[in-house]
Amino acid sequence: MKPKLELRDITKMFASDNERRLIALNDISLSINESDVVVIIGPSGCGKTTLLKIIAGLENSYKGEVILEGKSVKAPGPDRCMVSQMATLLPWRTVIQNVEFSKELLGIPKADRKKESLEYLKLVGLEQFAFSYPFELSGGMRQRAALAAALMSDPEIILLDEPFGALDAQTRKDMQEELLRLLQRTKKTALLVTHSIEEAIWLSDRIVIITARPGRVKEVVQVNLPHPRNRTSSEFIEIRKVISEMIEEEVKLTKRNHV
Amino acid sequence: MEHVTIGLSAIITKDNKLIKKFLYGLIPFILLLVGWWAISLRLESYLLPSPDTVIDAFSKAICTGELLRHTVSSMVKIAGGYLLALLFAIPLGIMIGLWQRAHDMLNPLVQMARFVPSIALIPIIVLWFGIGYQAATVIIFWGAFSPVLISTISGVEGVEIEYVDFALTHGAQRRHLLTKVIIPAALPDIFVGMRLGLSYAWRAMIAAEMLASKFGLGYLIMDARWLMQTERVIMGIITIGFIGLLLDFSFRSAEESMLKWRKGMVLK
Repeated sequence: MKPKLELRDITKMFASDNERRLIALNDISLSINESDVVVIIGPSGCGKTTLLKIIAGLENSYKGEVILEGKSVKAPGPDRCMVSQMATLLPWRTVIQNVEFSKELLGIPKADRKKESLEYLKLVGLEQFAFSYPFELSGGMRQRAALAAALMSDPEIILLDEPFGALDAQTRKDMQEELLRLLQRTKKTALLVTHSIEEAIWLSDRIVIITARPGRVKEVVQVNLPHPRNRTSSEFIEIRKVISEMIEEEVKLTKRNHV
Repeated sequence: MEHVTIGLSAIITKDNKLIKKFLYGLIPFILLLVGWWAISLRLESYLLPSPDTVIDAFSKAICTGELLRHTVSSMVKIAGGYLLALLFAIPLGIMIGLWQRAHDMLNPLVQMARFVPSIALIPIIVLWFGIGYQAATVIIFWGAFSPVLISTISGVEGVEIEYVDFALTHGAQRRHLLTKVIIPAALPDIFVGMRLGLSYAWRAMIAAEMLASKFGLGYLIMDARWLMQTERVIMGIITIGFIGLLLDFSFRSAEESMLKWRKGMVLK
């Protein structure tokens, strides 16, 4: 099967202030199949967000290649829609205007895009807030709106950068369920970055563990548990233990390097 | 007595906040009026005429149409000069804000220009354009131009990159960014500049009318001064302030309805 998204030897360097070059990502190669949910996890500062930005086309000075459906991509585009950590929406637009933004850019007639965006808003349970402004929404609601906007642009792959990091524990769980439901329903391919091991295991088909800086692929863990997953089952806990150990190893390494 | 106060406060709290705000805003005016009246009793009328003398002057000037004529003249001038300033300053500000080279090239000039007040230009403007509408328009233009330009530049330069990223990953092309992201995101700052610019333009205009005009509220004050009609001087001052207040109020209302999406403004 041809992969949906392929990363070939992605290397990213930052020029730090004292002329020394900082390697953020080192030779990252990865391939993601259609309708897969892949989660990237790693210690903070390992360049996870940078990697997503490279895929989204928002970073331009890097080595390597991003291949979507067999074609090399560089510029940003709606085929790789990104939901940011802060659930960015355009604050001067109402929720529905944010959701239909991608269709507006394509010149789809107003009535058509309104109908479609209302369907997506219904899907994420926000139809009563269609005409509210983003500042009137809670954190979880903003995430839902950002997800609806991303789905509306009908991406080949949806990129999520720690989407639930700023939410409280209960809202976070709800949103994880919501996301999984949406992804299963729309059959979208997704790449998600997170800090939470539990979130990674609960959502993903595969977990990619990135090492401490310079970020490399340390390990890829296949998660073959049926959905909905039970967070307290012995298999779940076993996978969690394995991944925790790998990450702790990396965190220790970072600490040692910093001393 | 007690239930009168309770009744009053009940009306104030029950009715909307606007009335409450209006009443609070009225208090200093009433104090000012009382103070003025008290002081005017002890002074010669040519130094400080009493409020009722000024009210007489108002009614006379309204009846003869003199006040309206000068007010209209001032409004026409400000409209022309101010709109012209917006027409130039906003696009130029967007360009400087977006294009680093234009910023490097024009910023020193802009920073210098903002320290040259309109009033300093009056002699040379009168030399070139004579006394009249043209001169006034140029002077008003200058007054409004820098604040609008500088706010527009800082608004455009301050646009959050995350909004641009949102637009790009949802399918925006470079050509969409200006109208879909940059301008709406910078609009609050542009509005600040426009409001500041309006008050600067208004001051510049009054100065221009006092020194280089035969019409307008500024001229009205100078004319009254030459005739030693202090009550008409004060009438002119009050009119200038009042129209300024009206302009600012209508500006704020427009701003509030256009910037509903801003949390702070809605809550205020």
